[in-house]
Amino acid sequence: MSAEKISNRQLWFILFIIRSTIIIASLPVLTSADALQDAWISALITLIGTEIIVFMISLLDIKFPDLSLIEYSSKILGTYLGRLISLVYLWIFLQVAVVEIRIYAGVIINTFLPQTPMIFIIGLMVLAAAICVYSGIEVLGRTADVLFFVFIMMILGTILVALPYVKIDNIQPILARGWEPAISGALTPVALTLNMWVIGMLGSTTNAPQKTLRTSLTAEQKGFHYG
Amino acid sequence: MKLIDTLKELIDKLGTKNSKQVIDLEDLDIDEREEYVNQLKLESDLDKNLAQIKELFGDSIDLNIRRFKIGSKDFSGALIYMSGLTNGEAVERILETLEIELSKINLPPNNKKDIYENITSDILDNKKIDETEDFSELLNNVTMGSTAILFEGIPQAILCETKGFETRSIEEPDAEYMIRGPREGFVESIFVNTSLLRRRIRVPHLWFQSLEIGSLSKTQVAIAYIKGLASEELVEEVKSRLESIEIDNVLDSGVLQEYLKDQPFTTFPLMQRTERPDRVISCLAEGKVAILVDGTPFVINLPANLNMFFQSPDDYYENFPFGSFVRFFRYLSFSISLLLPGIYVAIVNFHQELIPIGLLLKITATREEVPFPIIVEALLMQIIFEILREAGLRLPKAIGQAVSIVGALVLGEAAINAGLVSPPMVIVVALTAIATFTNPSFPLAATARMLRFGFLILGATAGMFGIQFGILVLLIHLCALRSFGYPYLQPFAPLIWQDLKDTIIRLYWWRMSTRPSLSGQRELQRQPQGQKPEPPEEEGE
Repeated sequence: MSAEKISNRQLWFILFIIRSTIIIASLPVLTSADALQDAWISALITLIGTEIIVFMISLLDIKFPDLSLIEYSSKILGTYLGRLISLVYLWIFLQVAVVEIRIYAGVIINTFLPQTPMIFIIGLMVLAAAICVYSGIEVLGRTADVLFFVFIMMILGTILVALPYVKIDNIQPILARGWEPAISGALTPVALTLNMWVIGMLGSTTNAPQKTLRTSLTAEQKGFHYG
Repeated sequence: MKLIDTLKELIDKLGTKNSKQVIDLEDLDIDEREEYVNQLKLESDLDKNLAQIKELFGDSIDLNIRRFKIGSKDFSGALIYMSGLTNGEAVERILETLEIELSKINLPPNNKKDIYENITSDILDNKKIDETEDFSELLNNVTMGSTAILFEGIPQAILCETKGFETRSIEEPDAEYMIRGPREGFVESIFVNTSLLRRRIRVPHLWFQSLEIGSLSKTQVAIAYIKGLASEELVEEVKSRLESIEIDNVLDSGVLQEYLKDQPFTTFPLMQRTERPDRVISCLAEGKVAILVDGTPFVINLPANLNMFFQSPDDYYENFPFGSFVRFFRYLSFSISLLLPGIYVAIVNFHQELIPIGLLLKITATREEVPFPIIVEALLMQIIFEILREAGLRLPKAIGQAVSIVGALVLGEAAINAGLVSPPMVIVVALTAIATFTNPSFPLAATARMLRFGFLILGATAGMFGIQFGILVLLIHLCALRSFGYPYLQPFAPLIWQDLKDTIIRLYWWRMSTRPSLSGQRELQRQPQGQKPEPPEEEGE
């Protein structure tokens, strides 16, 4: 079982999907609340912030290439503290998963199936995810391989459809209220950097540059996504 | 002391005789019979041997025993063979040579051993000659078409290969019809099939390794691969899986297929079966392995991936752009045959806003008269279609067409008039059915036919969300499948860029210079690159 490996490309795809889903779902709302028309600046700041965090995570990963997040946190911090920390991480993973699936179910119910109980939709999606994870990390990687292109097509489609509504004028006046709102708008999304996932599946191979590349790509998407 | 020894021998002999008499062949079960035959040895007495053979075969009508006596030397023997399995001329020739040659030799009649050795070493010129002392070996060879020669006074038999039986002539396979390409198909005899392959790969590296499966049928099974190209682990894996099969009868290669699957409970075909030699050759040349089974024209190619079932050999023989064009439509129509009824039901049931208003009004108007919910309508039509299809398949060709006419015109038309189904549903079901027929591989089309019902129910209960859930689970399932350890979604799911050249599109032959990287990794380069044809250079003006 320990021979199960995923390639860097697959990890890249997985990260890309995770990251851009979160960003597309949450970024416009989170940033524009504080930063208003300067949301795009917030987005860029978010990009830099996440980049730094991801960089640190990747360094940890390079330091312990064979260990997962849980394993090396107890190695660094000692058994008890490490376990406590990993518990926090597990909690975060769960939290993010719950939030995401709640958002997804909300979208489905609002647009397609208004009378369906939410638990049904959430249950089915969790079931699908559970089947996938149960089949092993390799299956997860291969599923990412296939889904990546579907995902890209969907995003491009969405952006294309949204393009006619872009009004460049809307971003003016730039930084009318100074840097503060833009930065504070970026704080929450930076905190949402749940690329911690990376480390969780670190048994396989990873390279730091690829992640940075990934995040920048992701950022392109979000920068475009609302004009 | 001597006396005691001889006495002991006598007692032993008596004992064995007694024990033999105790065993009554009539009452033995098959396993005990087998055991009994296995321990039997030939005796010197010809009459006894023949009687034993007759008893074992129960005097079956196809058993032939021909006794002969040569010259005046009181040297008698018998030929034992099965009629219908042996070549009559070959048997006659054995008898002739024996008579002529033996009458030439002048040996004292009591020196039978010498004569026997003479026969085995010099006289018989059959392609394959064996000697045996065992009854079981003799019987096995006789039932496979050899002729056994027994002599008086010698506890051994000569087995001559005289195999010769009626086989079907080589014809074009019905199940895999093609516009262009070789029109030969495999037949039931394994040696005709190996010759078809050998004629297309003329290097000695094409190996056929034989094994025997089936306690009753003793079917000959051959593993074909190109030595040095196919991965040794794969060949070993195939061999060990085949060797571990213990059944009594191999009716078709499909029986073995179920024992060989990595994941027994999937509807997807994990091995490709084909009747076309060119298909097997192309797989062998990619480093794959084929299994030939005697008695069936269907050869198994493995490992398979999903993409293989969308390929038809004439994609490669016809013009390049057309090959790609057709490939694309095959993928498309597979999706249609799998999803269309489910999507239609989902949309009409839950997402009317996705249909343009004019069309929606029309659909609702036609559904006005239909008393059932749309899922009942869909299931009804699907079930009728499956029944019709099966009926058309089992009937003789001439009547089969009549059934399809009755089904299509009469039933369809009447069902609409009677208000049982709405016309759009008929269109959907008909389109789905036609899309199913585009698939060049029956097992994959059958999978779509079965899963279609699942998607229908998902679409009817959870709308597009259900369809999406179904696709997701199906995708995960496909990603988890393996065929002999090789990922099933191969060029897509562990994404291999260079292997995408032969999937939804088919590149030019001169661009396909590498073998698929997972199965052909021992020798990746198939042909040199840069063979793009160009017009001749023009000289001067």
